Parts: sequence; C-alpha cells; structure tokens
Amino acid sequence: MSTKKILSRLLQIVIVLIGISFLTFLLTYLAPGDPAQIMLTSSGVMPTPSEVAALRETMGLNDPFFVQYFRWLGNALHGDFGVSFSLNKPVVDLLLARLWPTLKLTLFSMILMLVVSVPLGMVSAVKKDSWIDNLVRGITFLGVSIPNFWVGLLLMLLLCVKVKLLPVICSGGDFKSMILPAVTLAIAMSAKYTRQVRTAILEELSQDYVVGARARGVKERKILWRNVFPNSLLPLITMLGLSVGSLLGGTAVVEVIFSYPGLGSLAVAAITSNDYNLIQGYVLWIALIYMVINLLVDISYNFVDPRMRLSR
Amino acid sequence: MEMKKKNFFVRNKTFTIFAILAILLILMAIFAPLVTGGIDPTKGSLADAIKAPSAEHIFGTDKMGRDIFARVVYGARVSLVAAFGVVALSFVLGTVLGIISGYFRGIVDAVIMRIADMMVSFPGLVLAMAVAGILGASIGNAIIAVSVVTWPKYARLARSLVLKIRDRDYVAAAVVTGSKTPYILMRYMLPNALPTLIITAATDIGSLMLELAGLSFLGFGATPPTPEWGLMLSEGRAYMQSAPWLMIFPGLAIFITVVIFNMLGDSLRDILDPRTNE
Amino acid sequence: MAMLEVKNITISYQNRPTVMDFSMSLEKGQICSLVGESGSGKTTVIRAIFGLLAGGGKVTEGEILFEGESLLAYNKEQWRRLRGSDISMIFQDSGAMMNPTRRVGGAYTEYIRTHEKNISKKDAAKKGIEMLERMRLPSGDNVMRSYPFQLSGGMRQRVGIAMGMTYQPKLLLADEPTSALDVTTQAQIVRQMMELRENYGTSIIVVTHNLGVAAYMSDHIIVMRNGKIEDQGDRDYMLYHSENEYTHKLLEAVPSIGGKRYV
Repeated sequence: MSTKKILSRLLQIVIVLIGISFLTFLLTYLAPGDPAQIMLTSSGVMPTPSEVAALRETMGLNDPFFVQYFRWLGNALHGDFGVSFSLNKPVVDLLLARLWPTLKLTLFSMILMLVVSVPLGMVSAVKKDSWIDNLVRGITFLGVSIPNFWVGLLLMLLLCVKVKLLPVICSGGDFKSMILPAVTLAIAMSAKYTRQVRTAILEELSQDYVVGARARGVKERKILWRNVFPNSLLPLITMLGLSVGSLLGGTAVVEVIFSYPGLGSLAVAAITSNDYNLIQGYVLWIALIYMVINLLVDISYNFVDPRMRLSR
Repeated sequence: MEMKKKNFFVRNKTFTIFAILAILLILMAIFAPLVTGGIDPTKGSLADAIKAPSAEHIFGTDKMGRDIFARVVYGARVSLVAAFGVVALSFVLGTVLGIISGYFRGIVDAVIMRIADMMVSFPGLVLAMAVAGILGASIGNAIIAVSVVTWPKYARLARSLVLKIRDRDYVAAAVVTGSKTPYILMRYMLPNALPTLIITAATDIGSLMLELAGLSFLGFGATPPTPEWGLMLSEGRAYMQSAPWLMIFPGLAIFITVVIFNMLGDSLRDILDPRTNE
Repeated sequence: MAMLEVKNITISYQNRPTVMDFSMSLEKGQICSLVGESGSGKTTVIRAIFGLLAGGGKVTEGEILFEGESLLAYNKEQWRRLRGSDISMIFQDSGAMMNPTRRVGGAYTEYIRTHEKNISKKDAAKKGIEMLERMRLPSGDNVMRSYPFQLSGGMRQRVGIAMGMTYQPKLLLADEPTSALDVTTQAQIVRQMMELRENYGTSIIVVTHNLGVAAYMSDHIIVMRNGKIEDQGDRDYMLYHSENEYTHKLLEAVPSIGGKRYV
C-alpha cells in the first residue's frame, strides 16, 4: 500500500467518524429522556422542574441542534467527550479504565481461538471429505449456530455451580477472571474461524504452484508447511483484523454474563441508564479502534505479500 | 410435472428434511395455543414458582410460576417474527437502494454507498446496541436496530449484481426502444439480482436470530412479560444454581431453531448456487 | 526395448473415460508431440505418465512402462522420487507453477534439496545459478533473487526448463511450453528444448495445440481428438502424406513462427 493510499484511508476514517458521531448525536437528540433529568435523578433525589430547567440551561440543552453538535464535536476533537451523567466522571477516564481489560480479553480469546481453529481447519482441508473433515465440519456447524451467551451460561453452570471444580476462575482475580469469558468467546469464534481456515487452505491447495511443487517431487509435508500454510495466512490476517473489531463489540454479552469490567459491560450500563455522553464516546472509540486495526492489517500486507510490496 | 417435483425433494434430502422441520416450527408458532393446550405464557401463580420439570410442567416453571414449555413455544412466535422482520426490512431497503445506486450511479450512488460503507466500517452489534438502547427497549426497536446494520450488506450485493448487467446490450436495447426506467429496473435489474439476494437472506436468518436474542438478553429487545428466548435466559440467570431448567430450555430452543434455519439456508444455497459448494 | 511404453491405457474421471485405448512408445533421445484441441485428452495423457492426474483421475486400463518398470504399480513415494529426477515436466507458464510469495531461489533450492538430501542451502543455490546460466539466463543470481511475477514470460519458461533439467532427466514432459509466449520467444524456447536432446540425450514429449511447433520439433507426431488417437506418424508423413481430414484441418490452422511457416 502506497503512502498516498494510506493517507486516503486515514481521511476516510475521519469522514466515517464524523458521520458516525453525527448519527449517534442525532439519535440521542431525538431519543426520549432528558439528560438533565437523568443526571439529577441519578444522584438519588427527585429534582424540581426549576432545577431541571436550570441544569438544561447550563448544559446548553436549549441551544439549536447544530450548535449543540458542533460544540460537542469540538470538545471531542480535543479528547473531551463530556461527563457521564450516571457515573459523574469524565467519559474519557471511564473508557480508558475499561479499555485495557477488554483488549486483554479480546487478545486472550483470539489466541485460544487460533490454537483451536488453525489446526482443525488445516486437518479438515488437507483430509478433505474424510471422516475427520466431516466431523470437524459438523462440529463447526453446530458451533456457529449456538448462542454465545448460552454457552457462557452453560459453562458457568457446569464449572462453577455443578462441578465447583474451578472456584477460582468463577470469582474475581485478574487473569483467572478472564478464563471463562475468553473461553466462551473463543468457542463461538473458533467455529467460524475453523471454517474460514479450511476454505483458505483449500483455496491455496488448488493453486497451480502446488501442482508445480508436486511435479518437482517436493514432499507433501514441505508443500504444506513451507508454501500452502504461509500463503493461506494472508487472507487469515484480514479476517483476524475484522474479528478483533467485531470482538470489541461482541464482548458485551460475555462481559455482562461474567460481570467482567470491560468496555462492553460499561456500554450496556450506559445504554440502560440513557447515559448519552458515555454512549457516544463508546461508539466513537470502538469505531476508531476498529478502523485503525483494519488499516494496520491492510498495511501489514505490504510486509507479508511480496506482490503488494514490489508491484507499486 | 408431479414426477419432477418428487425428484427435486428426493434429490435434495437435506433441504427437504430441514424445510419440513422449519415448517413444523412455523406451524408450532402459529398454533401455539393448541400446542400448549391453552396455557397462558404470561400468567402464572406464585404458588407454582420455580418448579422443576414434572408431568404437569414438563419444562418446569419460572419465578412467576409461569409454564416454561408454554413460554418456549410462544417464544418461537417472537423469534420467527423478529428474524423475518429484519430480513424483510433490510432485504427490501437494501435491494431497492442497491439497485438504484448501481443503475443510476453518480451522486445517488456515492451518497448511498458512503452511508453503507460507514455502517460496515463498524462492528454491527455495537451500533445495534446503541440504536436499540437509545430508541428504548422493545422488540420493534430491536428489529429496526438490527436492520439498520444489516441493510448495507444487501445494498452492496444488489449494486454489484446490477453493475454486472447494466451495460449489457439487451439493457441498452431496452433503453433505446423507449422502455421506461421503472420497467427496466423491475424487468431486468431486479430479477437478475434476486436469486443471489435470496440465498444470502436464507443463510442470514440463523445469525440474525442469534443477534436478536442477544439484544433481548442484554435488555435491549423484548421486555417482560413477553415470552422471548433471550429475555428468558437473562431472567433465568439469577436462578442458575437452584433452577437450571430456566436457562436450559430457552437456550436449547434458540440453538435448535438456528440450526434448522442455518441448515435450510446452506442447503438452499447449495441447490441454487453449486459454485459456492464449500 | 523402448524407454517409455504406453500400452492401451484408458483414463477415467469419476468412472467416465476421458482418454481411451491410448498407446505410444518413445526411444531414448526421441521427441514426440501430442497435438489436439483443448479437451482432446493430450494433457491428461502426460499427466498420467507423470502420476499427477488432477482431481480423482485414474488409469483404469492398460500399462505404462518406463525403462521396463510398471509406473502404475508405483506407490506415492516412488512417484515422488521419480518426479523431478528421472522424469521432469515443464508447463505452459512455469512462473505460475512456483509459489508467488517466494523468490525463485526459494523454490529452486527447495527442489534441489528434496532430491539431494545432504546438500547445503548455499551449494544448492550455486547449483541452481549454474543451471540457470546454462539455460541462457544471464546473471542467474539475479533471477534467484527475483519473485516469479517479476520475470518476463520467456525468462520464466527458461527457469522452468532449467529446473526441469537440473537432474538431466531421461524424459522431459512439456505441456504447451510455448503457448503463452510471443512468437520470437516461442522460437527461442523451441530451439532451446531441441538442444536438450543434443546435449543431454533427453527424450521429450511435447503437448501442444500447434501442429507447427510439433512439426518443427518432433520425430513422431500423434494427433488426438476426443480422447482417442486420430492420426499419427513421423513428421514427414504427417506433413505431406497423411490423408486424415482432421490433420489437414490442424495444418491449415498453423500460424507462422518467426515470420516463416515451419511446414
């Protein structure tokens, strides 16, 4: 990818972010519920109408829509997403505190997922149409059909309630608290990923150069490990990038089930309590992270694929 | 003719089996009052609260004493209606916008596609959650929220299919001979795009159901006392230790339903589009 | 005894025969061409000789003897050892037959080290460079450092020939070796292949749809049509004496090579 392309992608990211910020702002503007009211009620006392009116004035809620939007956007560009109504703390601080746990969870579950799905997908592809392929395909099919929140609940029921085998991982404690949520996420993703690994490897196995290597007498093992597998990593990197993004959103359910203190559970709480500033901040952050990761993935192609690197 | 029909179903056994299962499921949803023997899924007596599965309540009862079996059966109504609602909404919206975009190109195309790009450059569930949350929890809003993030997929697909044929000679001939634009869209563009779009929709239903149930589970979809599987799971969570049946049966219901529709979608795709038979 | 003896083979895909009752024999140093339109089964024949039939193809009848040994009785490992050493194959686009994400040198040394267990990477690379230069590729080390897509069609084909000739195979199978090239390069590659016989005594089977190329190179020509032998004979017979209508049709379609029609 040339520098020019990267710059145009960055510009695109900015445009999309502005578009998304506008949409979410519009939605919250139109939504029922008065932020001033919410803010006052969250402190525990029933506010009088005059108190609400006064707060509305100081919060600038009586200004026209576009005035409000651009004021908010201007602040956001300076990294100020306002104060959370319900938690009474700056949105940025709240998000920052939750970002690392969610990233940690995401990375850990992705590693688990790769450990499972790459070997399974490979075996399935190399032994296409054998019993093991059929078995893997059957399991992955069930895997993509199973709701991940149900898997999480079942795991909890089995391991924490019934077996009491792992009391440690079911309650608190940094790394250990991550195991079950990560396993839950990994199960759902592994199924999808195994299928994609299988498709990617089958696609690569059907390439001419595989015939060429066989024609030169190269051993199947070498063909697979030195040629097919490294090449099939290329499409897999793209998919990985996309799944990091969807994981950042998709962790919400699992975080709620296991009361994991991440971005997702924060977002759910924010949405439930109509904490608009927090919602907007969260949506924009996720969008930004997602797009930056995808851009990095595309740039990484430069290093992995010589065709991209040398043919500009 | 009769012979041909029979052959089709015999040849495509997987499709036939899962089509029958899907029809049974739909019939179960429609005739829910008959299936449950007239038990009201939203009413129960507190005297019956949290009863384990027995002859009287084969799936047990929940904290309000409601019959879980009845709630699971009625839950099929909500799930099916919601999933088909999303498919219909995003299918129609996406197809119309995609065809318009691909046929007219220019500024219309740019605007529609930039909006679509924006939607997909973004994890779907996050946006759906935000939309559903901001609009307020209800099944209708959950349908809107999921549709908002689903339509761009159909729009992009429809557009690419239209782009493939819009410069063909027979389309040009139709334009030259004075066919009106709406006629060209309906006569050439739509039929060309439809098969692929239908395959996509069929394979999507299962994952849309999962998404909708997920939203309800988080409290952004169905509201109590609606019998909805995701919501039932979230309600049953608190009683995991004492009453595991509260979360086993609704979960199983989602799982089985999604399996049926995923299999149906996959086998339909294999029949209609053998190239992607992977 | 002939070096290669193909006796009445039938090749089937999913129980449907695609090549029927095919026979040929080849002496040491002989060049034979299989000519026909696409789908006539000519590629299938040499793939069968090479034990590399695509997607479930099988030789269901007949026998293939190479230096008196039945190739059809070979197991996978025996086939593998044979390929690239005693029998080599070059393709229409040898560049496409190399991993696009690795340099030519990577593929070449991998190949050499498959057939010579104890050779070091460095020596293998040296051997490759030497071979490339022998096939008139200037600065072989440059070629080794290039990716296949960075080379021209003619260079890629020369790389393919160099690789195929590394172990001086007794039999070289060439599948449309010049079809992807421009006319000038075509002529060069054809001449280079003919030199292989002079220098190394290699026997060659060329598969081509171009009867002109076949006539220029070969001692013996077999015309195939719909999986069967339609006509065959030595070059002189095929060019001037055959009365087969299909052969005549193919002759009429011959383009000229290097401005001159080689017929």
